[in-house]
Amino acid sequence: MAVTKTEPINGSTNKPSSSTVLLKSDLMSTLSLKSLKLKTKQQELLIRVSILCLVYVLAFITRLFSVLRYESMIHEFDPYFNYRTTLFLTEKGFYEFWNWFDSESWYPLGRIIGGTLYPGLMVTAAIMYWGLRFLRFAVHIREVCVLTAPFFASNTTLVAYFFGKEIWDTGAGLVAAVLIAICPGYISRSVAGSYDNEGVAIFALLLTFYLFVKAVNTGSLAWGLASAFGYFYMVSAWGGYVFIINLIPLYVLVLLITGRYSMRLYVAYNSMYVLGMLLAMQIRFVGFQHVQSGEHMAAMGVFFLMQGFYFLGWVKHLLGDKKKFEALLRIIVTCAVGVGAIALGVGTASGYISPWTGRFYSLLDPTYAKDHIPIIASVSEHQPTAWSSFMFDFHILLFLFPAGLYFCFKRLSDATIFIVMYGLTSMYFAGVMVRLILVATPAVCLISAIAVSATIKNLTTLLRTKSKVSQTGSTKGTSGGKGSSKSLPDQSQPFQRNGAIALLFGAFYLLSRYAIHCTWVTSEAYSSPSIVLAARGAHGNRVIFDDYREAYYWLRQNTPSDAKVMSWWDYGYQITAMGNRTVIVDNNTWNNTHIATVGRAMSSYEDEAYEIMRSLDVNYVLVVFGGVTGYSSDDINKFLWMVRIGGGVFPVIKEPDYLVNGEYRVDKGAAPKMLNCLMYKLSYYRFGELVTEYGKPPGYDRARGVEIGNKDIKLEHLEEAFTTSNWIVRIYKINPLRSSTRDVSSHPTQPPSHSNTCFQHRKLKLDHIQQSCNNSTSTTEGAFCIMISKHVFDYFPVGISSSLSSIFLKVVLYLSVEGHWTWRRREEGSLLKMGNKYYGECHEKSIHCLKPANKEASLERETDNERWAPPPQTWDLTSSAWAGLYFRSLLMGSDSICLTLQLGNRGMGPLSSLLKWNEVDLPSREEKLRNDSRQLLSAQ
Amino acid sequence: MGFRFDLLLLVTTLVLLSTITPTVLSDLILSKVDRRIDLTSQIVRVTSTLKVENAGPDPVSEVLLTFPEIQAKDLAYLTATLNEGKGKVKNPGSNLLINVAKPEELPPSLIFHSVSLPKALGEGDSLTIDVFAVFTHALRPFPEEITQADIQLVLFQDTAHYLSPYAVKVQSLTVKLPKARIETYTKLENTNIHGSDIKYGPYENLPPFSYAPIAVHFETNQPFAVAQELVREIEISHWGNVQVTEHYSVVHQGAKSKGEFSRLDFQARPHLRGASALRNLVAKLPPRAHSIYYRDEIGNISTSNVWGDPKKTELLIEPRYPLFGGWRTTFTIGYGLPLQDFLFGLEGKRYLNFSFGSPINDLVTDNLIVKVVLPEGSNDISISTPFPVKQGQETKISHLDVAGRPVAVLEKTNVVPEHNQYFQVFYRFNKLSMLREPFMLISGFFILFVSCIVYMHVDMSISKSSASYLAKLQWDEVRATIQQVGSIISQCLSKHERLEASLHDLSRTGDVQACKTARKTADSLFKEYSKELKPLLSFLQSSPQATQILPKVEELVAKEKELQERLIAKHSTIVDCYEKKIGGRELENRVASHQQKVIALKQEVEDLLDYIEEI
Repeated sequence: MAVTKTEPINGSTNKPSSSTVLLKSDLMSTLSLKSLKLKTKQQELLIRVSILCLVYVLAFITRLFSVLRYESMIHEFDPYFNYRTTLFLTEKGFYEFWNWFDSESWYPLGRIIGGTLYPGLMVTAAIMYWGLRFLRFAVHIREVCVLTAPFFASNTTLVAYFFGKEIWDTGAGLVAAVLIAICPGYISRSVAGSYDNEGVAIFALLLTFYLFVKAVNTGSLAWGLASAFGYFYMVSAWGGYVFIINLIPLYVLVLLITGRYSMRLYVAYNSMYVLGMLLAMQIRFVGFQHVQSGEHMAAMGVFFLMQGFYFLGWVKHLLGDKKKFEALLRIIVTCAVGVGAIALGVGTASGYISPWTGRFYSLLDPTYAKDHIPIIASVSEHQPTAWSSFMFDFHILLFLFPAGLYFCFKRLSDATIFIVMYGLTSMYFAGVMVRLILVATPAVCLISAIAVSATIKNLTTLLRTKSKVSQTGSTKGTSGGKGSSKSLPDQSQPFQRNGAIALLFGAFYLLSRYAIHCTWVTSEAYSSPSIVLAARGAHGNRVIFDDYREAYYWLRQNTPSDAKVMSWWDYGYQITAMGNRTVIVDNNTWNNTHIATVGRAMSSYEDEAYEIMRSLDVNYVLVVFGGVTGYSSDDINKFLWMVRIGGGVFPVIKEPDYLVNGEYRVDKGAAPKMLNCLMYKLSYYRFGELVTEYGKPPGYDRARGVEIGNKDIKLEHLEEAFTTSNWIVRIYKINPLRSSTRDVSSHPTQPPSHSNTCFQHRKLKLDHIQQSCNNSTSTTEGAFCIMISKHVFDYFPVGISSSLSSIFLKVVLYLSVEGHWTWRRREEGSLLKMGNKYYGECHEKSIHCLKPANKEASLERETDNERWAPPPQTWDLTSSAWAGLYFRSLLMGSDSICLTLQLGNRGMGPLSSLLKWNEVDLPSREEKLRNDSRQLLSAQ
Repeated sequence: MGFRFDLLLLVTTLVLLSTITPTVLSDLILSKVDRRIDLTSQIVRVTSTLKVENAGPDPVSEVLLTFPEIQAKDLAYLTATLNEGKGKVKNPGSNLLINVAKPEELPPSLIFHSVSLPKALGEGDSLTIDVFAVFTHALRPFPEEITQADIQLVLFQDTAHYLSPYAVKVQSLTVKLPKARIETYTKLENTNIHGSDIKYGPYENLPPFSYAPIAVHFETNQPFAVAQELVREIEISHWGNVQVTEHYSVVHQGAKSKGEFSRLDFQARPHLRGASALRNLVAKLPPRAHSIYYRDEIGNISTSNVWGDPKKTELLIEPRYPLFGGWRTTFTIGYGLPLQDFLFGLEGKRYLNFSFGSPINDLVTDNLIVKVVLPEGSNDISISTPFPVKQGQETKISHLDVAGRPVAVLEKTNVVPEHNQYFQVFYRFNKLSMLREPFMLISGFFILFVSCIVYMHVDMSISKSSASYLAKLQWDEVRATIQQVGSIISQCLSKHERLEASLHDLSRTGDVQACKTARKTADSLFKEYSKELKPLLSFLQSSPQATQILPKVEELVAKEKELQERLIAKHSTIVDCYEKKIGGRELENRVASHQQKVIALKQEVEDLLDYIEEI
């Protein structure tokens, strides 16, 4: 005890002695462990940590159903693209990845992968892979990819715990962690094998929000910057970052309006926004959108508002006079609003600020996509959400959510306001689009956790205090034996106590039902890797239909390696990843016209389709057909979307042609156009001879439950190349042109010789692009970035991954250099958007006009009414693309383009018009300079 | 056609040869030659029984075997054994040594192999040799492209006369064909057909290098499964497992398929439409094989079956799709085997005894690479094989390896099932090296935990004099003090309980004295506690960090004091009452006020205590 006496004297002045005192007091406290209270405290910590560990493990293993039941494989469609890019990244390194021009997709356009994807997921997986390799764990990259999503789900539970702790208390944090670990809404996108952006993004989203709330609560710059980095990670991982950059300003705005403005908020928002914005610009796919796109303007507006607020406070402080200040305020506000409105108007009108994208519109107005953009509406996960799927994904959380909101409103603070806003906005979005249930899930879990935790806490405190009172009451009873002096609350005591117990049991019952439901949903609904179909056989045994992989593997092994495969866009990623063949369209929907062209080919008669396919240089056509197995999500059932998307661009295709009295049928009563279109023919070729079900006529379609209407299908230009064992995938080979003499004689095409020099120049140019840009043909994009970055990086002999500081330096340099070349971006932009441009007005009846007619898409157009041609502004690019193809085909000895030429002026890329374009839009000085520099570069 | 042309050329040179150069090689003659060619599978197996006789004066110790160049390049396997009379079981160890020989003066379009005899053949002695030769790719599909509905026809070409540098007295040839249609065959003199066998001969007294080309064109619907490349990786783990992984790249080298493939026809009439398709392969794995898998680059293949009995394990694998002519596929099979069946010790060394070729039946392997991955730390590696192979060495880095595992690499082209013989890899390995990897894991975790402990216990702050650091130190002190206060208060509370208990005892026993002493001891204890509390409180008052919490602490102390007083008062009242024998209602009336106050205070104190504990 003597030691403690010296404490106040020496404690603050003498450090060593104070530390000894501390040590001794520590010792004392450990010695006084006998005291019960301390023990419970440590016990609580132990329990908390072990619960968290268990939740961490649980979140991981509950997502492994699919691995145990099937195998360690990638699911769905998009993950295959992610897997393929990750594979590329780990094999070729980050530099190559960043400048990857992929000629295997979007033939003949190709795709600039490095510039059109969110690299967060791939880089994360690659870093984990390299880390494990470094630690000498010889894992396969596939295993890393398969387990990335569960791993990040586990991390999300930890973030949820801290978030819950921040907005409520540790109890709520624990409950939130448990709820989110097994919530089906989140599991649906994070089971093992679902290697998709969302798996990482939800973690990043929650982390950003948590760090931001922490920053607002503490006013610490460090937390604000941390949240900016969280935001950067989110931006690098998923397009859903737009939600963050709109929700946080909204939240700040609400705080400002409700008078909760504080220095903490100022520091948190400014640090987060400024750094977050700068970091986000480093992602090439996002680029300058933070200052240019309408979707990001809210954040910037709030940023300026914040500065204004701060400035006004300062002025108010300087003036001291209230009247003067009000007058000034009025002037300033009107000026600011005016200037802001003018800036926004000018920005929008001049095109500097881009208008909102279709997906964004469809969020605000659920009916928008249905009317305007069939390609968005055709994706099932973009549909409005049904009540049943809310129930399916949230279960009891749906009822706990309002209760949690009640508790939040009862204890209103900056943090609870945030979670309330997050919950309400995301719930609205979840109602608009099915896939956004995912974004709402963390909020719902957190708010429900508050409800659960607060309720249980209230009930247990009720129980505990009552038991204490009753204890003392009983001692008193024994001492005195008198019961009349009981106070009023004591009279209702048994009822309250029992009620509390009942309610507690009720709560636990509900929670256990939730756990059961989640496990069931996870194992039954969300753990099948849609690429392998499983069914129950007649004897209850499991039958596996592995037709997709059968077909893709066939493509991979038994077709020429440069074969081009046409299929509906759903299967594009899988064909490139598993079949390793070039596809015409894939799941990335940046070019509507290209997809529409495929849709048009599928819905045309065979002759017309053949010409379109020839012009696209297609060798194989792949269709998915469920008529034998009863697999319902096949191409016939998706066919109307092909018609719609095709018809949206090419007015020759009209939806009513395929319907009978507004009804979609495939049987005898079907529309004649339907019975003879390419898709129908390819799906049902020779199906009329097959008996699928006992007691039914041959040609009975089990997916639609009807006998097909056209059993005698003859194919003229195509032949069956392969059909899988259950007929789910059918592949057709396109016959090479047999009698082309007629076409040649009627359209003799002689490339004018005088333009050949120009062409040569282009060819040279293209060769350089090919060299520097990994066989890029259709675009000049990428090459230039390579040039810049090479120049920049060459100054630094250290490798990219050497040290953080050098990376940062490079990032800054890269940014500054890129600033000089903004014109480059515009060029890239025009190329990227080329597909959606409106190229001119076709005569509606002209079958051979392949001209897109989506009028709203662009202002640029070509006035030629007969032929397809891109706008003059893009001729330079297009002709160089085609020239590259042409020369490449010459070099490689293939005659693909020459054949296209023989189709005359009806195809997409006749050489004559290419040459014409080439002449009209000669290579500019800049272009020549670029080519020369590239030549130099490649010579080095 | 090139093939034909070659043959013609060969024949002409042979004819020239036989006329110009008489038997200059040696004086051997073949008194009897019996040849049987088995064409029932894609692998052509030729068994020849030669009766060799020395007609010259000099003893001869070598017999030359001759193959035309075009055949020699397909020759996969060649053995010669001594046939010591009929009915005797051949001894597998009695294979004769065979070398490639290049006698001069003979045209390069003939390849010679010389068989060394165990003992030289004297004048007039004779000897019988069995020569067994295996050829691959000797059957040529003709026509080369067929549709799905066509049957597969193949062409086989050879000579009816035994090609030899020696004169042959009597010879005959039997060609065994699969039981199916024979399209055409070359008809020479003495040609007979028995069922599916074609017999040529006997021919007598033919000069050296006599040649009579024959061609057989017949139907065979056997798929020609050829592994263009096969990599077998055999990984030894001294923890008791041999893991075998085989990567196949298989192609159907029969007649190429053309035109469309119709699944409908294939399903409806599988034996007419697609008769020659390769549907499945059967692999005979060693007994006790376990954890068998079958997959390819894009995942598991679900069409396989395993049967096991104590003698062998049979694995039936179906490719993802039926292989038609010219179609290819790649896949991987893997299995684990018990170590003790394959690893043996010999003079301080260990050796692995494993079979060389692919376990799949009737598979021709164009290029076989066998890799034996030895455990890390193995040294002194040597390999022994029953036939010559290309050998090499590399390293492989696997789980938790530092230096990498040594890998013995064996390469051989043109491998047939006859090559499935055992080879041995000898190496030295210290048992202690086995513990290296577990030790690394353990030490890794150990370091992790130690660093955690160090992190928790070491003060990591950079500046020891910054304001925030000092504030943190002070705050720690304040917290420690508050904890002490809390513990003292809780001790007080326990004393209260004891006082209450003494009252309880009083009501049972009526021992007033004991009760009084209890009160006295409690009183003195309380005084001591308040003494202890004083310095703590004064410290808290002086500390700037404690201003927030101080009022609560003070309130707690005050309330507790009041509670003490109340309790003592109550205690003394009750004791008084007992002394004065006042009971029942009276006592209760007197105590009631105290009692209520005590309960209320107790509640408050506990709440405050909880609050303080929360900090």
